[in-house]
Amino acid sequence: MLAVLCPGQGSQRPGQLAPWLEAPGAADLLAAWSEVARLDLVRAGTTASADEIRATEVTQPLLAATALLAARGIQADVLTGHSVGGWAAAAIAGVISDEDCVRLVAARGRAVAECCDGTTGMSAVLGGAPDVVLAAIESAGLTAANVNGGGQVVAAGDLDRLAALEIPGARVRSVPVAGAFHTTAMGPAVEALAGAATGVAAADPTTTLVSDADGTVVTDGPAHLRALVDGTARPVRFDLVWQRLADLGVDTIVELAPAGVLAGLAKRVLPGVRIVKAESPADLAAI
Amino acid sequence: MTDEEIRTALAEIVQEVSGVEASRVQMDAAFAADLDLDSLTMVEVVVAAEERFDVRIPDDDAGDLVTVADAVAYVQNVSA
Repeated sequence: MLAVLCPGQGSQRPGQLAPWLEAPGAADLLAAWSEVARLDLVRAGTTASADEIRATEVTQPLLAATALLAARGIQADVLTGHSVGGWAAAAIAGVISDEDCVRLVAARGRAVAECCDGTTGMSAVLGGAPDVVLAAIESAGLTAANVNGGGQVVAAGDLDRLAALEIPGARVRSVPVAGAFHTTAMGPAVEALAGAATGVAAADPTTTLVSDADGTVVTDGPAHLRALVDGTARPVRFDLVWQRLADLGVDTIVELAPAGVLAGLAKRVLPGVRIVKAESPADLAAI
Repeated sequence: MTDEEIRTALAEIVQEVSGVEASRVQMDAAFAADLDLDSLTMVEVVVAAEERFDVRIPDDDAGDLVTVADAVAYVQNVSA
């Protein structure tokens, strides 16, 4: 049972697209996707600097395009993605077209960037008992925006509240992101994205697709598209995704480029599972 | 501790946190560009390093630790 995982923001790396450019048809696809993304994806994924691709409106469509290219030729039994990676997973599972995926993720990146006004942010919470950590985040008026499993929780919200956050037995450190992703601070982005998604055709998945909102298996394509839109302002529960992958009997995990983050978590959370990082077409042979 | 002892301990931390093989954690390796550590994983490495070496690494300083050599020098300096 082979699960393909699409990474989210924070995974991006300069030159991440370069190994995939020579693949058959890649140039034409990237040209079409760059047009709908209103961004030169080839430049962003080859020569652009780490600072340039850290900008949310660049990061997100670049991640989507890289995942979609890397996924070609892999026969997945299960698909899932972390945060913005969930969009590529949905496209690979046939819920939306690749082109709609890149277009909407680019719109998502721009809309999310507009919600970042310098007053909100995110902090990693490391260690501590899970119940204590989640309760403390909530009582501080913050959101547990990413519950990633493996003892990794990210709190998000007002910067002053984050600075004051103290949790017994846990360490709190700020994470360099532009705003409080996956919280109600992203409400305006949801509205903008819903507008962009209006009229987009959505089909039921043709491959088992696991939602990062709650770890459930997606059955209804149109409902999942709405969930992806809403997910911009709702927490990621990747802990529940890991649980679902274990329950489904997944024994091999392929993290699509730029791989590393989810593969690292998988090693901790699902010991014994075979892990492949699809960083270049040559890696696909190992699958 | 010698630089090599700090590097070895740091390599164990990186392997434990990220799954990246300790043998790749050499002095000239960059945490992000060479070892593929994302910002969140880097935070975990910093916190584990603080505990292991009994030092404080403020966020502002942590952001300047680009390579393994940077981190080794930092630990060496603050514990001297």
